[in-house]
Amino acid sequence: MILKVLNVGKSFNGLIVLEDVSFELETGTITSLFGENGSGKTTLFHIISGFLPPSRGKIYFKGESIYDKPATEIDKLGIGRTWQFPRVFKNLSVLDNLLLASKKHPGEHVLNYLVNPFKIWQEEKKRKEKAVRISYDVGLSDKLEEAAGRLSFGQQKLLSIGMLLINEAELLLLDEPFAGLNVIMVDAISKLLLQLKEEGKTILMIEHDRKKAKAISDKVLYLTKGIIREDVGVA
Amino acid sequence: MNYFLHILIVCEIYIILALAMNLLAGYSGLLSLAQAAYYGIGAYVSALLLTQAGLSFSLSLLGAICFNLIISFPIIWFASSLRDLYFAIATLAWQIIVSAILYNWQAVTNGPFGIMGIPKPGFGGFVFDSLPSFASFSSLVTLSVLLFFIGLHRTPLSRCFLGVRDDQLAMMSFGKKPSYFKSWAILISSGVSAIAGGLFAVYFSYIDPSSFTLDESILIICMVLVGGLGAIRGSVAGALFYVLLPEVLRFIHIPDSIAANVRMMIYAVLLILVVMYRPYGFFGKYTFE
Ligand SMILES: Nc1ncnc2c1ncn2[C@@H]1O[C@H](COP(=O)(O)OP(=O)(O)OP(=O)(O)O)[C@@H](O)[C@H]1O
Ligand SMILES: [Mg+2]
Repeated sequence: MILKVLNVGKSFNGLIVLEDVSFELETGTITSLFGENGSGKTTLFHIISGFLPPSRGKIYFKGESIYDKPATEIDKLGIGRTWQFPRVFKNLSVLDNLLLASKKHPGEHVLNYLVNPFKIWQEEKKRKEKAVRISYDVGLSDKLEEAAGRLSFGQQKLLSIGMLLINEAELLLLDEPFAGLNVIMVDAISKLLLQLKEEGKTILMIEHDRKKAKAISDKVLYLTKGIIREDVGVA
Repeated sequence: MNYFLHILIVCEIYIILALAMNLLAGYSGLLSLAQAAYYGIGAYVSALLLTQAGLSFSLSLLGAICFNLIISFPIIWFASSLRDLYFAIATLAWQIIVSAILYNWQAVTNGPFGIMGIPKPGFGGFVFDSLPSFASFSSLVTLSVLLFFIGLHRTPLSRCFLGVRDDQLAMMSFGKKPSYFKSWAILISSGVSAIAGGLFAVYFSYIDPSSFTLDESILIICMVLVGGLGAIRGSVAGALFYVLLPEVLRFIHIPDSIAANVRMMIYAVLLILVVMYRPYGFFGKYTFE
């Protein structure tokens, strides 16, 4: 078990969005989260990834309590997320977007420039190679120099998945990865997700396309009226 | 000849200021209106260390840079707690406070009378007191600053500054603290502004608070905006543009009594035109939304 969500509740000044949410995710599985518009799926992602504090409840990642940790810490522990409306660095190239998503780059600490500048360039080179590899996985290899803001909506989604890959997240929270993508790209992403699962990654995704999502899921969660219901073994 | 060397030196001082501003506004999305405050503090600290403590220019400049780093804390604090327009307004207030201190803390700054008799810099017995020698010296300093920024531009660190500018939440979701990068951008920018202040002080041998007011901050921002945010050559071009423009206007023979006002109006009109028709400035890569 990699993630355990226990009795999480969230209300926004009186409006109860999440009533009592509990579920667990096993390592190396794909889980889909379904629910009506406004049922609180994205809110749940904000809470797990540390962008919103839960009103109550506990969250454990690999046994460690994370519900009160800031977003930056949660990413470092290995939880990566995408956003329903992709957040890419619009004025930066696709390559720079990927590089910015990579973790623990020594070149991001000012003191390292004094202590060990050589290491920075070594790492930069390694990470560039990796970024290029990942750009092939998400079908953006011919757009490396393009500003991310000029990519189409679908391409920006692909890029944000690529950014999670280079971020080396163990648990990927994907907010509607298929929405706005054409059939070919949906199949490509599905394949990519299955391959990530083989590599031991855990995926929790919000989707409205139930058929496509179920096709690759080990488990399905339904969020209705602030409570999670679970279906196992749909695949 | 002397006229051109004088213009060159003034251009260089503004190039340094514009480059420092560009790191804030262009790279990190921090529209600070207090750049002239750091320019001024840099000039005053170097001038005081030169005249009162009798230190050499390099030591005085080092002192001024360190002092600016320490006194950057209000801007760092604003940047970590305020966004966009609120940040700009807070820095505006800070600029006005610093101006007021320079005018009124007579015991240290000598108030509106300023500090006189600031000695020229020297190196191993040679003093850069002729205009050509000083111009070479200031060119060397400016070139070093320019190379520093070109080098910085290629580092992963500068990518993080740009990332903070584009999307802070995304930065956080990748484990990077926006406030860390904002703080460093602010520190580097104020440190570099001190260099411009030091050069100004030793070049004119005289400083008073009127050179470091809010007007000056706005001028520096205009340079960066017109040149283009986020582009190093934009900052250089913007500084040249704003320093050379009045010199060109001089040849049109506007009566002295209204020249200053006409100049300000032309600045303003040009800025409006640029914002309307070229939102990216001459070479910009980014525009405030
Ligand atoms: N910061 C906030 N302040 C107040 N209300 C909020 C806030 N964030 C979300 N809500 C409310 O919480 C509810 C759930 O929103 P959420 O975005 O989580 O839904 P969702 O399940 O992701 O919907 P969709 O499928 O349309 O994306 C909505 O009614 C929304 O208005
Ligand atoms: Mg949503």
